[in-house]
Amino acid sequence: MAGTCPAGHRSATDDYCDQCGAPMRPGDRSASVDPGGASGRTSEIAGAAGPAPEATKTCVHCGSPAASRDRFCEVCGYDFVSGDVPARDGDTAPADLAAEAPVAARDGDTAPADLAARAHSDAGWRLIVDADRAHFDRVRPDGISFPVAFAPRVFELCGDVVVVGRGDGRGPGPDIDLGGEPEDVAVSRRHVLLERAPDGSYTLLDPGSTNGTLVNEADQPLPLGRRIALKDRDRLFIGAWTRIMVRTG
Amino acid sequence: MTFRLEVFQNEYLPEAATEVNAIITVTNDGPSGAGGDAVEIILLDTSGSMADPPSKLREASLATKAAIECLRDGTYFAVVQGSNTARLLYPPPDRDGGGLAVADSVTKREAIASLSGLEASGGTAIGRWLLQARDLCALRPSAIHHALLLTDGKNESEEPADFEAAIGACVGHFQCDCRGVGTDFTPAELRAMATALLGSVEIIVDPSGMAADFRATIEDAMGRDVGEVALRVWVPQAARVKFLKQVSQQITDLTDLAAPVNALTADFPTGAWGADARDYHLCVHVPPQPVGAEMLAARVTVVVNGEPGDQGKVLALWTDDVARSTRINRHVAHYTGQEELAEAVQAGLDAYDAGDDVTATARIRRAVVLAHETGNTAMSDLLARITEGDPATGTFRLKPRVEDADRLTLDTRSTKTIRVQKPQ
Repeated sequence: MAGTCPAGHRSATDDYCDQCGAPMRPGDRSASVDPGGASGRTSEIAGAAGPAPEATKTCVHCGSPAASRDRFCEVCGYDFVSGDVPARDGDTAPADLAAEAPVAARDGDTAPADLAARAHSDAGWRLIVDADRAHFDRVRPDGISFPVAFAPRVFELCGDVVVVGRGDGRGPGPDIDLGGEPEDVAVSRRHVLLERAPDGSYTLLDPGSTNGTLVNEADQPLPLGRRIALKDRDRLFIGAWTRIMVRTG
Repeated sequence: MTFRLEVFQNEYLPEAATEVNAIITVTNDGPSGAGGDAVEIILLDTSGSMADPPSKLREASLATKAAIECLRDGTYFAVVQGSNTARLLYPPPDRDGGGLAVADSVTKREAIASLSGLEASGGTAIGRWLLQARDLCALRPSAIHHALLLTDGKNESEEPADFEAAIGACVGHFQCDCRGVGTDFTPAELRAMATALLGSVEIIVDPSGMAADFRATIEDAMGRDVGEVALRVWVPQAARVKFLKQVSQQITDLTDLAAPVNALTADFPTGAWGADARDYHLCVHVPPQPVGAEMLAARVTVVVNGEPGDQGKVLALWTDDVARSTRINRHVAHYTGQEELAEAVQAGLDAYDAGDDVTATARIRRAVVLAHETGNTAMSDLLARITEGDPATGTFRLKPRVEDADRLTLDTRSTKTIRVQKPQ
């Protein structure tokens, strides 16, 4: 017998107790945790932070239910462990974006009509969100139906960085939240990013949405990470049926 | 012959966590050169369907010929003809000492000659073929036992329970590589059999590809000269092995094959080895410990022909440092992705078969993303055959007409993995 562990088990092994696995010499971790050290251990690490799994969980990206053992959301591919949507070139860590983004326009409880009126009077930049049948027919989304009724929503743009996406009521949502019924589930939690240029105009960037962003007549999605200048009456098509019209005055 | 064992993991766990994951890599540097006795059984489907088209049986015969030619002289071998019964084709059942021939130039030529009279008739009762192989292997108990099984159809001439019982009766007696030819066999059946018998599964869509596959499979088997290698896993009291899977080359769940050594230790068979490196994913459920606690979650020893060898430790260190506990070891992440990929492909194809296109599309879309992320280009190519559009946009969908051969190939190869790539 090599000794007795702190819990009182007699152990034939002298590194860890052969009954309960506790270290035989608590506090002495140099031999055990040294990366690449004794017994061929290698602690090569990759990936970033993520929430601890629960019995069941909800995808924080698209709101779909998922089994706690799933690493990825089946619907949008959100990575529960790293917190990333499927990694692609030009992808920026969404968490950082959210942290940097000042709270800008919020849907809130303000009646859209009021917002529209105010935005118009200020001649500021605003987004008009509507459901677009032609876009829906073009993407032919599986398992998603076109909304029966949709009231256009108007969002005023303010702040240097505005995140547009579909929140789930948990955690820091996007600045402009397209969530709420009828909900376009193909819109990502952080779908596009609008940044104010020094001249007061806005640029558009898709930081890595799951389903991409189409601009005006383009039939290919905007390359992820590419910044383009926005102008009055530009139309952005995202998700399964969402159309965003840009107005500047 | 040197077996080395390495452990890849992030030992830091968040508070209250109970699951420890590690990738165990076992490497055998070289052949022993000992060249022990080997038994090779070829199980050839000669059921009626093998005559449709006639080229199938012809190619199967040619493949068997190629396999026989690869046998090392001195190998004990037999060719079994399978339908709703199993019949010894070679050596002739009435020969003295019967059951197994010793490979040399004469017996190989005789065995090849016996293939010329093959006729396809009868049904398919694979369990009976397996039992025949087991009986033949038992004639040389100390040898390394391997079988190569070819079938083109569903196992429809015996009850599923009988098939399962036959597989169970063969576990540990021989390893079996399973091959499906054509588009009428059931990948899940082959997979269940190959998993239990520590073998590989492969589809041969074009019968003319059979000979090359048989040759490679037999050469592989002939290269294995270490008969019994097991992973001995000790876990502490109140802990249990949630699963142990072989994850490189292909995913094979070894969890149910555990043979208890004592209350805390079990041996998981890994079959025969040549010069090889294989990765295993070990997942241990441990009782949660307070922050700051340290525990040995598993001690893994490679056991070669009963002799314990190299050893590795899987640790658990509970911490409130989120930066540490949430990092994922690159190896663990890679194989977790590959396991999920296999599940997504199989679930997607099951849903497709059941007519549930929404689920099928969602799972297959996930598989496409995972195959790309994990660099499994073979799987990406197979998935591209049944899908169109870009998974990153709403245009992604399954092709309106998915070819049987593409679907079966994808299903059969869904458990094939690639090894961890060197970091960029």
